[in-house]
Parts: sequence; structure tokens; C-alpha cells
Amino acid sequence: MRQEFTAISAFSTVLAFTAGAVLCMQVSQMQAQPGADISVPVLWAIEAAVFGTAVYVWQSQVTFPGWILGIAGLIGIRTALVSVAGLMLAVMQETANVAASLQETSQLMPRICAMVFALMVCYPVRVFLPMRAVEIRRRGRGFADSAAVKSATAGAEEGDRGLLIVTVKDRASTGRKQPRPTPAEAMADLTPAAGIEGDVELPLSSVLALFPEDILTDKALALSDTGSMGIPFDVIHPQLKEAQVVFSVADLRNLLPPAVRKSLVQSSDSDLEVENTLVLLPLESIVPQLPPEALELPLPSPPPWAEVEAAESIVFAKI
Amino acid sequence: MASINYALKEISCKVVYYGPGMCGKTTNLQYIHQHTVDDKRGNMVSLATPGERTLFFDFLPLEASQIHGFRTKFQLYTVPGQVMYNSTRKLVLRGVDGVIFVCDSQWEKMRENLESFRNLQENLASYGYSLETTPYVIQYNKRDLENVGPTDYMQYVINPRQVPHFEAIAIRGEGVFETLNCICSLVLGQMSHKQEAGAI
Repeated sequence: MRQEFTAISAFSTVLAFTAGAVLCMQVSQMQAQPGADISVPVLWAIEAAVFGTAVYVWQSQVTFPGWILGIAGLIGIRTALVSVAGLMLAVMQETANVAASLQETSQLMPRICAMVFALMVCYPVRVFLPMRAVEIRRRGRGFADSAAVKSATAGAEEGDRGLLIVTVKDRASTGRKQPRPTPAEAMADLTPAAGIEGDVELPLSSVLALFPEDILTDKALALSDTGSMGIPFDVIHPQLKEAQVVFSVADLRNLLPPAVRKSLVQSSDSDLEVENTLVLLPLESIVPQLPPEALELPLPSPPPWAEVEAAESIVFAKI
Repeated sequence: MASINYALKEISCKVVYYGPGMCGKTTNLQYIHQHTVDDKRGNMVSLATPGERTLFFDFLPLEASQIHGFRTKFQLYTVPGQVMYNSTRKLVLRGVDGVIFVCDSQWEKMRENLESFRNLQENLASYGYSLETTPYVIQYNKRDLENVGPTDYMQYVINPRQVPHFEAIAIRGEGVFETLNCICSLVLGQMSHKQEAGAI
């Protein structure tokens, strides 16, 4: 969500206020519907509930005083809308009795109309609501949580809050050197670990749903309702590093259970286009079935810049 | 590239948030903007469409305290993630000192993450830079969503070299400053190394 209050936001606010005032004035001239009377305390309760919910939905991190301020602001704008509408009505009808017009526009329908427009008017200005600081979930390896940062921040002056210099331990002195593969080796094909066998099971219905409709039959769809198909892991694995698993219809057809395969419309030479159509299998169904060793990474091979030891670091701490 | 102005005693570094469209690059910058002290940051400049898509880039200058008597400034940029804005992305990368590659953790974005990462490599190469010489870290964003892939798999796809990586929920600020601090440290380390070698 963009948090800046731009010229467009200001324009929207003014526009919504003007439109709201005009519409409230129009609505106030409508005949009151029988049974539409709601007692004033109930109306206030509804209004407070609606406005309170709106402020919370807009800014869930709003402080409690900010929340109250938001509700008060909305009520203020709603009142202003009704008042302006009443004044406009008095001017247009050349009524000397302004008070009567105000009373007229404070009834149920104009009030609901004003509530809606108050929400529209206030939406762009929600960015000014005071927010509370968000707690960052603690992570074991969070740099900002490290002992080095804490010791440095302990003596920090107020002016330095948010941006602090920290001396971190020289990693070179730890002597954690170990043989590393070259970048080319690291980026080379991630070949499957030896000994990984087996199939990845996918529901037939979800696979057939990806096939072109031309080759599906009712019988095949009926057969697919409960069954599943196995795709050999070694066929899938080479594609995993491409973040997609793609097969042609012809290849997938060969992996289908015989009964389902036979129930599909059989291909002919003229159907080459259909047979070569590529089908994207859902990664979310495949990856969870992979054995852990399938996603094993080679030894870490950080680039040269990662080997450069930082004598100093900067911490941008949240305020 | 990073510049050191000895007359003004000033160090200036450029960090770019890169990644596929809608992955949370601008959200990172907004969170940083909202949660740093006023006098240490400038105005955030954001050129976006009404649909909250970055049109050109976002820019946020940050200033750190003095390091060895030098004022250290970081200029944070984002690139537009949409495929059609590649020339803009390339332009923003000019003179980059460090990259934060933001990934969208959702399953349906896996391929886009990889394509964007390859696009980053290509665009860096067009200036004669590479990820071998430009510090970068990976941020796996949107970890709060339900349809996210495991980080093991994302590491396998995006980060087989295992450079520093962080899980994040940028909209709530989780992992945002951890990622920023890490890249800033790496950039300063790299710059210090270059200075010692007489490269800058």
C-alpha cells in the first residue's frame, strides 16, 4: 500500500466531500420510508462500529489513540457532510430557517449516505494515523539481534538511533576455510543424487485437466476420478532447477495408466500439434513428494565478495 | 559504483532491490522509509501507476553515521518488475554496488523468480558487471501466505551458491532490516577491499 499522501489523494478527498454533500442534500429530499426509523442511540452505535472497523481494516498497526482519533475524524466528517448538505438545501430553497434544514438532513437516509461518503473522504488521509512499532519476529540468525549489535547499541546516543556503527568479528580469524567448488561447478547441473528412485504420484484428474479438450473422452474423465499416475523421479528431477516441470502431451500420454491411455482419443499423424502441446505440471504437488536428498545443494561456493571480511558494518535498526 | 569524496568526507553507495513484478520491492522500501529516523533519510520518490505498480523506480536515500570520519550514504532503488520495463531496469542497475534480489515465495511465481534472476545477470553483464563482483543477497518474501514453496526448493532454484538469504514478510517488516543490514555490510566490505587494493 502506498503510504504517501499525494496531490491525487487530496483531490480525491475534496471530490468525495463535494459529491457526498450534494448527494446527502438530494437524499434528504426523498420521502422517508415507513419503518425506516431507527432510534438515535442505535444509529450512533452502528456508526461507531462501522467507523471503528474501517479504521482498523485500513491500518491494523494503528495505536489506540490513533484509532479513537480515526473514529472521531470520521464522525466529524460525517457531521460536516450533513451540515453542508443542510446549508446547501437552505440556500437552494431560499429557506431562512437553516436550523430546520440541518434537522432534515440529519435523518436516517442522509446520515447513512453521509457515513459512506465520510469513509470515502477519509480513506486517503488514513496514512496520517499514528502507527505503533511492529515487533519483528525473532530469528536465530538475525544480524540485528547479534551480540555485536547489542553491545554497540547499548552505548548509542539518541541521535544515532536507527543508524549505528558496529564492529563485527573478523571472519578471517576464525580459520573456517574449507575447500570450495568453483562457481562453474556450483552453477552446473544439479544432478540427482545417486540412488534416488521412485515415482511422483499425481492425481489423474488434475493431470487430465491440463490436457487439450480435443483428446479427452467421457470415459477417460470417469476413470480419472479416483486414480493417480506415477511419473518417475529421474524424469522430473532435471527440470526442477528450471522452476517448472513441463511435458508434451505425447510424453504424458505414455506415462498414463493403460486403461486411461486407451480411453483417450488416439493420435494420428495429423494431430502432431496437439501431441506436441506442452503441459505444465503443478510444482506444489510435485516438490513436497521429493526426498530431501533430491534438493541437496553442493558445498557453499560464495563469490569473492563474500570472502571479503567486513571490519565494520552498519545497522539500520528499526524505530 | 561506490564513490568516496575525500573533500566532503563522504561515501556514497547504491543498492538496488531487484525481482519479479509484485514481489514486494517497493514494500521493502516503504517499510524502511517508515521506520528510520527522519533526519537520517530523505524523501522517498515513487513513480507508480494507480494499480500500485512501479512505473519507473522508487528511490530512498539513507544516511548512516560517520565511519572513520566519513558520512556514509546509501541510495536505495527498486526496479519495475514487469517484463516490459527491461530498459528501465537496466538503467537503474548502472553503477550498482549491491543487489537485494526479492523473491515471491508463492508457487505460481517460482518461474518468474528464476526468469527475473537470469534477467538480473544479463542486465549486469551489459555493463560488464557480474554477480561474481557485485554483492547480492536473496530475500524470500511473502512467507505469510498459504501457497508458498519451501525455502529449500527456492534455494535450490535461485541460490545454489548459498549467498546470504532471508525469509521475509515485508508488509509487516519481518526480515526487511536484516536484509538491508546484510547487503550494506557486504557493500562496505567490498568497498574497503577495493580501496585497499587501490581500485577506488
